[in-house]
Amino acid sequence: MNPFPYSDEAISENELMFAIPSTIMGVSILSLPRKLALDTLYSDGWISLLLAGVFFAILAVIGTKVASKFPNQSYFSYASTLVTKPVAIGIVIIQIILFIGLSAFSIRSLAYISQQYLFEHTPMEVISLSFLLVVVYAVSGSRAGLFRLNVMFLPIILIVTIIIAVFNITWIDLKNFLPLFKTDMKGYIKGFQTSFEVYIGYSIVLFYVGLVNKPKKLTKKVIVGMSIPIISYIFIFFVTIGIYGNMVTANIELPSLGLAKRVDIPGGIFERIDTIFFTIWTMAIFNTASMLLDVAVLLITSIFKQIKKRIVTFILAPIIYYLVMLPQEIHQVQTASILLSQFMAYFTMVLIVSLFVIASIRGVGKNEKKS
Amino acid sequence: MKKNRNCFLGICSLLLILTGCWDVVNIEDRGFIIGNSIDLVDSANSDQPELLVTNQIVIGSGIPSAANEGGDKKAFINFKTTGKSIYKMEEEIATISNNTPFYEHLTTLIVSEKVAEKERLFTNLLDTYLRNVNLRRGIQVVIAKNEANKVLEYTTPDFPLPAMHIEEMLERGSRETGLLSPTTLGDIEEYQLNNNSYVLPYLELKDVLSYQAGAVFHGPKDKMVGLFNMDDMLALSLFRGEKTTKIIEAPFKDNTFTLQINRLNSTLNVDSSDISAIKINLTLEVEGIIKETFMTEDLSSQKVVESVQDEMSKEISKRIKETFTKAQKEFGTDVFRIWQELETKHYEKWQKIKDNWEEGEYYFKDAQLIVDVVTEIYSIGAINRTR
Repeated sequence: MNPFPYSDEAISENELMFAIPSTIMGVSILSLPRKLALDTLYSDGWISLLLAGVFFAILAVIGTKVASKFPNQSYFSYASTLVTKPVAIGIVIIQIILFIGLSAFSIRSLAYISQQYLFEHTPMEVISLSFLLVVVYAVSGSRAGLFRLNVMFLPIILIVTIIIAVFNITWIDLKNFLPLFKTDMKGYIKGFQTSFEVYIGYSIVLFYVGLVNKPKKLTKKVIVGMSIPIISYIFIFFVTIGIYGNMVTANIELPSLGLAKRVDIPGGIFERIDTIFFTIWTMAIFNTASMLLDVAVLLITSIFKQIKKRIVTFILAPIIYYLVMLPQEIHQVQTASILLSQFMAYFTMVLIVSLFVIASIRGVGKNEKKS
Repeated sequence: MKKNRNCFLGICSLLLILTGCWDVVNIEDRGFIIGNSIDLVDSANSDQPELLVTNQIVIGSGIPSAANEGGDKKAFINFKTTGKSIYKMEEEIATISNNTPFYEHLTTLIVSEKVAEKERLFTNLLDTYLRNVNLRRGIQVVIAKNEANKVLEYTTPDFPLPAMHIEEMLERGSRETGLLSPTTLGDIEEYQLNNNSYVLPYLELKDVLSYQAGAVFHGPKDKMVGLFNMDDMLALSLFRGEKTTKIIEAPFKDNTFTLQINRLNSTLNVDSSDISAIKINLTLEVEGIIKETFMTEDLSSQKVVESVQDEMSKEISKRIKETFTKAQKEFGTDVFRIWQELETKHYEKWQKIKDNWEEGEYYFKDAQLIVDVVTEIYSIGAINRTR
C-alpha cells in the first residue's frame, strides 16, 4: 500500500478547527450523562459541563497563543527553548505515554461496547485488532489526509446526533428538568471534575498550531472548535435528562445509546436508528483514536528526527494492542481511564499555564518575531 | 505487473478472514419474539417462586398477506418454560425451538395479577428485561387477570398476532376513549427508582379481551394494591390533563347526556404551608361537544346550555373527588403525581416529607383536594333535539 501523496502536507486553520471537536468527542459521550446525573441533582449538570468547557476553552486559547509565538516550530523545539531541552524531553515522554494510553483506551471501549451491543460471540481481541489496523492505516498515511477525514466525519456525526434528538422530542417531559439549581456547591465541583474527562483532547492545539499554514484568525477558530463539543455535550445531556429524568439517567450504563434505542416512530425503519447511531459513534471513536495516536507519533518523530513516521506507527501498533488487551475486567478499564484522563487534565493544565507564564516573562517568542 | 499480482493475492487472502464471522445468524433462523407473559406457578417458596414464562414467536408464513392467504395456519407459536430465573428460561427456548430467540422486536409484556400482587417480585422480574441490552425500553407492560399466558392466545380475525393486537388496543384505547396512555418498561423503571405509585393497564379475558381497568401499584410497598375501574381511569386521566379525546356521561334533570371532551387544560397548585394538611387546587378547563342526549330541552338557548355546562362541571369534579378519595383512603397511593408538584415547586418542604409521603407519617392521607371545573360546550352537534 502506498500512501496517497497530497500536494501540501500543511493543515489549514479550518482543519484544525474540525480536529479539536473530533479529538475531544469520543468514548465519553455515551456515559457522560450518567456520570453527571450521579454528581448533580435534576438537570443541574449542564452548569458543571459549561463551566468546565469554558475553562478548557480558555486553556486551549492560551495554548494556541504560546504555540503561535513560535511559527513553524515543532512543539518539542519551542518547549526546549522555553524550559530547556532535558525538561522538555521529560514532558514530551510523559505526554507520549498519556496519548498512547488514551488511544488504547478508546479502542478498548469501542471493542467492549461493540461486543455488548453488536457482536455477542466475536472475541474482543478480534474486534480491537481490526479496529486498531484501520487506525494504524490512517495514522501511517499522510497527516493532511487524517485532518481531512475529520472534516468529513464531524458534520455527519453532528447531524445524526441532532436527528436522533429530534426523533426523541415527543418523549421529553419538561417536568424532568425541574426544580432548577438545587445542587450544592460540592455537587457542582464534583460534576466539574467529572467533566474534565470529556474535554481532555483540547491539548492538541499545542502540537498542531505549528503545522497550520498561514494562520490568521487562529484564536477565533480554536474557540469555535472548542464550542462544538461544549454545545453538543450540553445538548445531549438535556435530551437525556428530559426523556429519562435524573434518576433513570444515573442508572443507565450508556444513556446516550439508550436514546437511539428509544426512538419509536411508525414505519419500522426509524426504530432501528440505533444501528446508524452506532456507526457514527464508531466514526467518532475512529477520529479520536487516530488523532491521539497521531499526536504520539508526532511527538516521537520530533524527538527522534531520523526515524520515519510510518516506522514509528508500526512500532507503536503492537504496544497499543498490548495495552488494549491488558485490563481484564471492565472496572479495570474504567479505573485506568479515569486515572489517565484526570492525570492528563491536571498535567496539561499546569503545563500550558507554566509555558505561557515562562514565555511571557522571558518574552522569547516576541523577540524572535521582531528579529 | 508484479505489484498488481501481489495486490490480487493479498485481497484473495482477505477472503479467508472475511468468512469467519462469529455472530452470523440468518434471518430464517431467528425466532422473532414479540410477546412475553409471566405467570406464577407455585408460591410456596416465597423468596424464589416458580414462574411460567410464555414466549410468543412469530411464524412468518402464517401471517395473511396478498400473496399468502394464511388461512388455517397459525401465525404464532407460544413456547412455555418454567423456572426461577427469567433469563434462564428464555435461553431454554433454544432447546425446544429450532430458532434462535431474538428479542429486539419484543413489544408486549403481560404479567399475571398474582405476580404483581406479590411484594417485590414484579420489580425483580423486570430487572432482566432492563438489563438485557437487546431489549428496547419501549416495551408495553400490562397486567392480566388470572392467567397471563391465556391472553397471549387471544386472536381476532384481523389481527393474527395476539401481542400486536394488545399493543394496538392499548394505543387506540388511550387515544379515543381517554384511558391512560400505555406504560412502557422505561417508565416503570423510572417509577420504581423514584418509589412512585403508578397505574398499569389491566386486561381481562372473557369472551373478548378488554381493557377496562387499571392496576394500582403502591410505590414504597412495591406491589399491586388494587384496581381502578373505568370511571376511575377516566378521572385520573382528566386529573393529569392528558391530551386525548375523552367521553363522559352526566345526568341532567333525570336524563343523561354525553359530552366528548376535545380540549382539556389542567392546572395544579399545591399549598404546602401546613404539611399536615396540604391543600391541592386543581383547575380544569374542559371544552367539548354534545354527542348524545335524552333530554327535550331547547339546546339553542343560552340558558339551557349554561345549566348543562354547570351540571357537567359538577359531575367531573364529583368523579375526580371520588377517585381521589379511593386512591387516598383505600390504597394510599399518590397516583396523581402530586409528589412531583411538591418536588418541583416546593423543594424544601418536599425534602422534609418525602420519606413519609405514602408511608410512615403518611402526609398524603391528610391532603385536601379542591377541584374547580369550567366546562364550555362549543357545539351541540347537527340538530337541536329529537322528538
